[in-house]
Amino acid sequence: MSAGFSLGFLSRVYSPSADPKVYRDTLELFRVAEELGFDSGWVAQHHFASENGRLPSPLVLLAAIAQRTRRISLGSGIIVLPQEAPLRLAEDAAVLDLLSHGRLELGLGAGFDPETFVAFGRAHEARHRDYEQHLQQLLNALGNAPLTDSGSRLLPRAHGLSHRLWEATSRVELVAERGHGLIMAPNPHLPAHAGAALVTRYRNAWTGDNGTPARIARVQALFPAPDEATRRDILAYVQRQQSIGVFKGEIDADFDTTLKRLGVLHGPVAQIIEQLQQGPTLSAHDQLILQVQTVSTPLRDALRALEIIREHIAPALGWQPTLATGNLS
Amino acid sequence: MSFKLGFLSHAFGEDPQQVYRDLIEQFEVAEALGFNGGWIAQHHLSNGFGRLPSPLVLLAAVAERTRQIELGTGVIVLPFEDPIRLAEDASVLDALSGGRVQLGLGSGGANLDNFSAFDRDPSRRQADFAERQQRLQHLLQGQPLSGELTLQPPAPGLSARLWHSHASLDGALYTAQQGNGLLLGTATHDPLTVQKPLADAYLHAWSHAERAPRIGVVRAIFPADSRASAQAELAVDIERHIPRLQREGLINEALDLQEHLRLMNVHHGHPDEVIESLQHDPSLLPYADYVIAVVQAESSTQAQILKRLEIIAKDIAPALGWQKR
Repeated sequence: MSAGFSLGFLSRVYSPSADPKVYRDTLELFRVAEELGFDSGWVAQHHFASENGRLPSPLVLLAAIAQRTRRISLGSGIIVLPQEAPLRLAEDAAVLDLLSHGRLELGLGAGFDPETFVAFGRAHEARHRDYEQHLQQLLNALGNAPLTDSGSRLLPRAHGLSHRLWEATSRVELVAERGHGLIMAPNPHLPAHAGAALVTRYRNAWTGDNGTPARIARVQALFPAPDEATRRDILAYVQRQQSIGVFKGEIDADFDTTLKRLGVLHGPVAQIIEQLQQGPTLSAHDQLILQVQTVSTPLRDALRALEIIREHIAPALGWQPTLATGNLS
Repeated sequence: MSFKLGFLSHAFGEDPQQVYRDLIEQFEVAEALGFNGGWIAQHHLSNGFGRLPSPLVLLAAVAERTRQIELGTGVIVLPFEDPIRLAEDASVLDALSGGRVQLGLGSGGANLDNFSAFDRDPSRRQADFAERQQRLQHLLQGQPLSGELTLQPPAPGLSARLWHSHASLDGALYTAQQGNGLLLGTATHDPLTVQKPLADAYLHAWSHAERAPRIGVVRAIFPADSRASAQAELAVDIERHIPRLQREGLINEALDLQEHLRLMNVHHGHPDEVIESLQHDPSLLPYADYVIAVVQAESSTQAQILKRLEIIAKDIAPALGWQKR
């Protein structure tokens, strides 16, 4: 990674309980990340607190965050599109984009948690079909197409937002054809180099028809010094993924193998840098998005991790802050 | 009788981004003036005048700019919403704002043109409303949805802050039966012959011993230096609505501006005239737990809006018995 890239973080808005403090903490994380010079912050959507993720409404929280920040991009990583009414999503995204002066990066995915699909009255096995359908409706609305017989369109208009869409899926050719960004996380069932192959397929399929460059967002968890609680959280996560059929097979007897399988970066800074250098090459339009929290990570540890990334890790990979950000104290 | 004082915005304006900035400022100013709440209407698509389809997203921004003022929707078109997603958004906003949400719901009678875009049938809107409102209410009350799943984050107390806007006696009775608040005056309905009977029916039907009924009354209130200057400020916007209101059968005579203002329930003029006019409104003070002032017409400037809020909070509402918090 010699060229510059965008540096971001991902919060899954985890918390062991439904205390509203988790929203204040996430706001603080964005505020500090912006001060540190991070280019983007992303929040995940979880319904019914699956995985202890406490945020079902990323766009509502990001609207609050937009008032506390000026520059940092505001990402959804990701919104479960089959469970959204696409036109309502288009409206909310367009309003947020205006409120934040064009800072929204809209990440979309098909979801995986079977239980929540039942709750929304949607068939889990139909989620990819629903995803495609809802995506077309969303694009239609964002693209200012007429939506009624009398020719009514989305209001407010979403200038430029359709160029800031991201998809998290392994069907990378489709993403490339649509001209969207590709969000990619390590696949626990494939060797680490599989990611680079996906990126190559995506870049090869890129047409550039919508006038934007190909762009990938590489999402990975990073824990400079994972303690017992962090390890317990990660194990619980894997066990849950296994119980709902997302993680297939046996859980590794050796925890370090599990961490490696999940692509969790940890250990000495030099080792983390080396691991990151082995991944797909990131260039100016790409993002490196690091998750620094598990369910029980205190805010101060998350803030400390962001500082380490900003001071010691990202610069070694070629990242430079886009503008002077003042001192860090 | 004391009441809460609020304002309601339809988010009129040309440039949506400016409209949203102005709205946030209106909440800041209203909070400083002691208003108890601000309410925002939801308008979908480009065929209307309102510029905001996402009140809860905007209110999340407002929540960061204010500390005390209640954050209301007046109203959300419920048939277009997935009740789970709405419950989630409202609950997150309630958590972010320290429990300040007032959730007003409607069936979309003023949005008939837009039902097809949301894949809904306008003739089924009352049934859709009831089904979604009950589901929403169950979720907000913490009742399990399917299996063990309950709303996350939980929304303590929010189920007691739901409001319905209805134009029929059946609707008013249904609101009472569901134990929710009743919003009157969200459309052009005669205060004496339409609104008063709705309020009476609602109060009569109320049977929830554990809490009191509550009525919010929306009123267009346009104070100015004089009656003439108030009318001058309003003339363009009122006349613009006459053809539509006639078409919809909401007013049946086309007379002069004076008469139109009366038929559209626009209380206007010098503050003393407005006070008197509001005191004589047959379905306002005798019923209102929440007086919700509309102070913006399509071509109102931000300066006019803020000035009207100030006159209402300083001169008009206190004379009607409002006590600033």
